[in-house]
Amino acid sequence: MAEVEETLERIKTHKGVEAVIIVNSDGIPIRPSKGMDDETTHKYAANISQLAAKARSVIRELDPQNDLSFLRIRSKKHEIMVAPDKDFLLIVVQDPTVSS
Amino acid sequence: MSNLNPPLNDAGDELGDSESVSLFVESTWRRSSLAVQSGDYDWNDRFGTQTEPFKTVDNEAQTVIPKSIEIQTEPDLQKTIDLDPQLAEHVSNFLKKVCPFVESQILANVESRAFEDYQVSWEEERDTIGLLHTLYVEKYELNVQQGKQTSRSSNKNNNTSRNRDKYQGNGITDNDDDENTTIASHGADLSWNSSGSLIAVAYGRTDHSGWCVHRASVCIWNLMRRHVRTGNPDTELELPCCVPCIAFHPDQPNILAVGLFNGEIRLYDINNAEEPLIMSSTIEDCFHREPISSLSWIKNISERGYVLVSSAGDGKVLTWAPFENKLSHPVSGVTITPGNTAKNRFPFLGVTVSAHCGLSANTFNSYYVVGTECGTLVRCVQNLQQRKKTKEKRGDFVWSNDAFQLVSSGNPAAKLELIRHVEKHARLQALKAIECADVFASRPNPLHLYAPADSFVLESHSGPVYGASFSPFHKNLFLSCSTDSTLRLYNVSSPKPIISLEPSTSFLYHIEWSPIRPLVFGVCDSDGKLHLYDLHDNMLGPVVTIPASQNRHPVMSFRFNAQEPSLLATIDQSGHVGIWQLSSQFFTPQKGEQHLLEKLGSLP
Repeated sequence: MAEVEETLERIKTHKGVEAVIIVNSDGIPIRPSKGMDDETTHKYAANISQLAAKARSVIRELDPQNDLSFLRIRSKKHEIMVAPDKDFLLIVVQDPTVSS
Repeated sequence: MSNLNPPLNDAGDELGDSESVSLFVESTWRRSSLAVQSGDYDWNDRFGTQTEPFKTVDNEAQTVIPKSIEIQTEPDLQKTIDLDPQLAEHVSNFLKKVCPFVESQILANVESRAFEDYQVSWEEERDTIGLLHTLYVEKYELNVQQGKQTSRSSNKNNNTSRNRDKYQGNGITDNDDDENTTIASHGADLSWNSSGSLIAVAYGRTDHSGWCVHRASVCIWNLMRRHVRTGNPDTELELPCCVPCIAFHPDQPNILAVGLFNGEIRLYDINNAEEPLIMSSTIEDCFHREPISSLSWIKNISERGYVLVSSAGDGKVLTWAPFENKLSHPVSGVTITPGNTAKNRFPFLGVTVSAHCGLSANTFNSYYVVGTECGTLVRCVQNLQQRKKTKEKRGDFVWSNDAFQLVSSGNPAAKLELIRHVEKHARLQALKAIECADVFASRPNPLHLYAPADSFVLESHSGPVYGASFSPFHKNLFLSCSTDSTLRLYNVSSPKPIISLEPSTSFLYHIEWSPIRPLVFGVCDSDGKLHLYDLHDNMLGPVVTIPASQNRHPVMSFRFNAQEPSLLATIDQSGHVGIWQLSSQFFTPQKGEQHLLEKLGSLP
């Protein structure tokens, strides 16, 4: 358990990373999620797991041998990176333009 | 011709009886009675002469009284899964697989220049600021013209003070009523509702010298209609005196809080056409007795949902929970009084504005700022006690949890005296249990009941502070403006302002941050102008100055619209409301704004 914490903390220390969330296959966030309050975490978890599922089905429909490996959404304020897996989903929110 | 006459008998018959053919109809009943008599009775013959016995059935019936009940599903309790050792193992395996790639992408992102010049415009770009609508109340306009004409003619006759009153300013006289009642047509305050479609406008004069004898109203326009009725408000709420301030509820689009000149606070439900007034507070020593200077809805102080905070010229800042007790009494309050130590001493004249940190509960700030008529800015600390859960038993009386908390959070020096005062009242009334309402019914001294605020004085203005507003993006920064023509940006933790700017030489009446862009704010002045600042582009002066009033009347207030970011509403002293459409630069987020704001607001 400490290992998980440590890894999340390491990701968070990268430049511009605002939040790191781990979500299970039902779309429920696993605590502790770094950098974000509970309400926003739930919003992100619910919306992004749905979007990742849709993206995956699009890839597989276009080519049944293919599968989703990574999803990135760039918005005006930041970039959301989603790494999918069988059981979990890792969501990282980063603002790449921040100059510290 | 036939022979109609029957042939006569040749024998010369004389009139005689013909053989009558007689018919014999048998009687049914005689036969049967004869049959009975003679014993030939057949029961199968239906001849009954007796009524059948009545059949009765007993049954119970009941009217049903319908009862209507509202049902709502509760939103699913959001759950999170805690890490337990077994799950942790799975998660750490997953992370081991995924992390290296993610981290390399994070690093690559920081280096990448791929999106540097890439801009997407989802909406049409607007370069200019334009006036969409001018809202006004037609009958006020007509009366103004009439009023001017009649006063000109009557002025010749006598010069009593009553006529002078009619002649002054834009006041109008309603000729039907008592001559002393005029309808206030100066604009005072504005509020957008939570869905951004309705705008409520409060009318009220600012030049009172005594009691308010005006009748005023709050007019509401719906801007989402296809044809906005600019001359007539969609809803008009009549009030017995001027209205200095109004505030829509931030969540419920139909609840409007109105603060009146006589110290009353009322809550209206716009959707209810017959009876819009839901509740109203009374005028007592313990409530407000002076015009309400500001109303704000604050979220989540000690889990009460949204509470209403009111401040008035009598120096009290009261917190009300309208949906709990229908405005019968405030749940807590403080008095803004001059401090005792030499450092804290400030001349005190009455609270003009109070600004609260508007961020969500998680980034909640326990400070709030109060501006006074003499220019002082006072920073006070919120009383964030948890709501007491248990009753308190003292001697013969059982105090309810809220009532005891109310007296305990009063002035500490007078707490015992206050408790004894309330208990004396309860003894006279023969009460055993003391509730909040009883505390107020005993008419305690307001200075005892409301503790002096834990205050700290920030560097003051040289004139009454009319505007203060906390940034929605930074929990410690706030802006203030006053009649000394300066607007200042403060960090609430330090007494000196960070920036002090002077947009013009006229009085500044209202200042507000934009709800969309962290570095944009606006300030309106008494020369008829609205200045918009964008600290991203220009830190010294306004980027745009809008002539918000046609005849250079003072602009009393303005509001940004959080739901429709391109709209801005202004109101001037003649009662005209201007709805402006802003250019895209004022509501498209720019890169790195939040960080610039934080850098600006950080203490050296």
